[in-house]
Amino acid sequence: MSWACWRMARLIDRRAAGLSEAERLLLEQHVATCSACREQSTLLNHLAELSDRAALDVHPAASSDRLIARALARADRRRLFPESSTVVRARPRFAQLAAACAVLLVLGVVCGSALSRFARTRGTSVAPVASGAGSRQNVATVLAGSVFLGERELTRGSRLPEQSELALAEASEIAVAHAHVRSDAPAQVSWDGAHALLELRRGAVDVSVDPAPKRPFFVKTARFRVEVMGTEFHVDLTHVRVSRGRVRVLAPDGALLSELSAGQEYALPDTGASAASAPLPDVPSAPTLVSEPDCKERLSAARHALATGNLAAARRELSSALGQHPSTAQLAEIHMLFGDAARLAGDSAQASSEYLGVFQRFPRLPVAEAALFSAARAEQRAGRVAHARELFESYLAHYPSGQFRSQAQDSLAAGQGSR
Amino acid sequence: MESVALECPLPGSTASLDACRRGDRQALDAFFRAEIPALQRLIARLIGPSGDLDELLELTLIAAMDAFPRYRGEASPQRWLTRIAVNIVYQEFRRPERRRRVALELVPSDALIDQGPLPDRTFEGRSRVRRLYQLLDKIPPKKRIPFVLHVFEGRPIDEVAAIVGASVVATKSRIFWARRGLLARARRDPSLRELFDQEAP
Repeated sequence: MSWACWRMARLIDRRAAGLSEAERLLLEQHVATCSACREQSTLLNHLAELSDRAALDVHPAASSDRLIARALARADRRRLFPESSTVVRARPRFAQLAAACAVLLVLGVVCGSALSRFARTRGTSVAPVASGAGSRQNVATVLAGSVFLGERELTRGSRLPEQSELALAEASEIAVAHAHVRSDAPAQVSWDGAHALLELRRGAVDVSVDPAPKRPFFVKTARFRVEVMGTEFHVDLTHVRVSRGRVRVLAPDGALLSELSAGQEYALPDTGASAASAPLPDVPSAPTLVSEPDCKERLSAARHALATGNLAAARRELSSALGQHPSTAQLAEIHMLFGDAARLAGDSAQASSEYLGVFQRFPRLPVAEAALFSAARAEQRAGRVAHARELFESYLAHYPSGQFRSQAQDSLAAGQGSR
Repeated sequence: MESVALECPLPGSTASLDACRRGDRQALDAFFRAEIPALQRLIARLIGPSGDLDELLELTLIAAMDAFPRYRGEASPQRWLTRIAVNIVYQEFRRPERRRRVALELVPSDALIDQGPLPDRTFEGRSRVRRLYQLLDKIPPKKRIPFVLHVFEGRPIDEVAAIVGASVVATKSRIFWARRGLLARARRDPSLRELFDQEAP
């Protein structure tokens, strides 16, 4: 490379920054006569165009609002947890890194064994606690729209107190802990950061929970509570509709009302009064599954209805389950539950018939054992002692070491004594 | 209802910068909103078509928020922010796992119904851009960044030197070596070589 080419290379580099008229002429003259510089110039020109394309082909910032709000929220978290800073990534020094890993490993082993010993001595498992330090992670921030704290309108990026009563206007969005809450219509919520609990007082919200932190998140209404790990769903005062993932809907006392997966909806039965004003029952009656639930969910609903004494609802669910192509085991369970419903209704003869039917149709299934014993008990309850005795003897013959063996023997002994 | 929103000074004004130093969220919001498009182009030019753009942009904003109380106003806010972004990108380049990652390219919907070049041309252009950045990935970041800032971005040498925190002479030398390495690889690369061949008489 000649001295002239060397100088021209500098000018070629500076082309994007701008050349004076004299420099431009000089470059053009040189390039016209030097093939090497011409090739370089052309190639660099094309590469610069490709680079321009990379810079200009960028999609408009997906949402500057969201990006800024996220950065503000992350900056807040970093202030709370300065040690978890991810911005400055120092060059790893491997010796230090290895030493730190070794120390952590030893600490992990020691703590693990101590914890497992503790758990054994207490006879309980060690569960994570979602309060205290954990609650500090449950930062809440306004992302978009109009959000009011009492009478005060909060600006975008404002942090919310750990306990706050909020009014969300249309198209508002807040980030609470690891969830985003969006309201398409005015809604009223309260946020409890210590328990990652969002209580919906009025209106409806769409909730999207990030599964990554593996921490639970709760949405509560006056009549039920939704427990989620990571999912997306819509909730109003009487409905939950799941778009992604799974949620559990619990009664205020913690009883499981329903488990929903994507595309399913849970609706509380209509009590004839508005949820905001009506006094609310402690335990709502059986849930009505609005979307087409499968046989398993019908069975679950039927069991719940039986447990709450709602026999009509249980029979309805069981009849619907029969029409949904149940598997053999499900069919057996459906008839067992029909038997249970009859027993609870006081119709022991009908119950006995259902149980015996299960035993005769599905003798190889595990449920057959319970079916035969239940049939014997139903006969006993119906006062048909001889038939009951036959069935107890049959049970002991079929299942000499069955789980109801001692009860069957006791019943036979009692029958002999009374005779 | 009482509004907490305050009248916000113009982004980049002394009052706005003072408010940013105090951590005023509204001022920070306005300042970043004005600077995000330029920052986005800069980072995209430095890293190429990669899925990390938003993440790096976010990290830049966080680092700027942290550093604002220490901003003395000696450089323009844009240059100061550029320097932060370049540092973030530099750290990103030095992460070993970066080399093992493959980004999925997002194709904007309007590109699919574009009336401009035919789809094969668009695809060809995109693959050339990717190829260019694959070649740039082989150049050490210390040399690559000044080269991209000067030759592709068109920033004067002294500004590039200030951004990367090196002397002008060292910066010129880094640009020289980066240029030499890139051109040598580009000449050997069939898809990039084609660009030159198309124009050759």
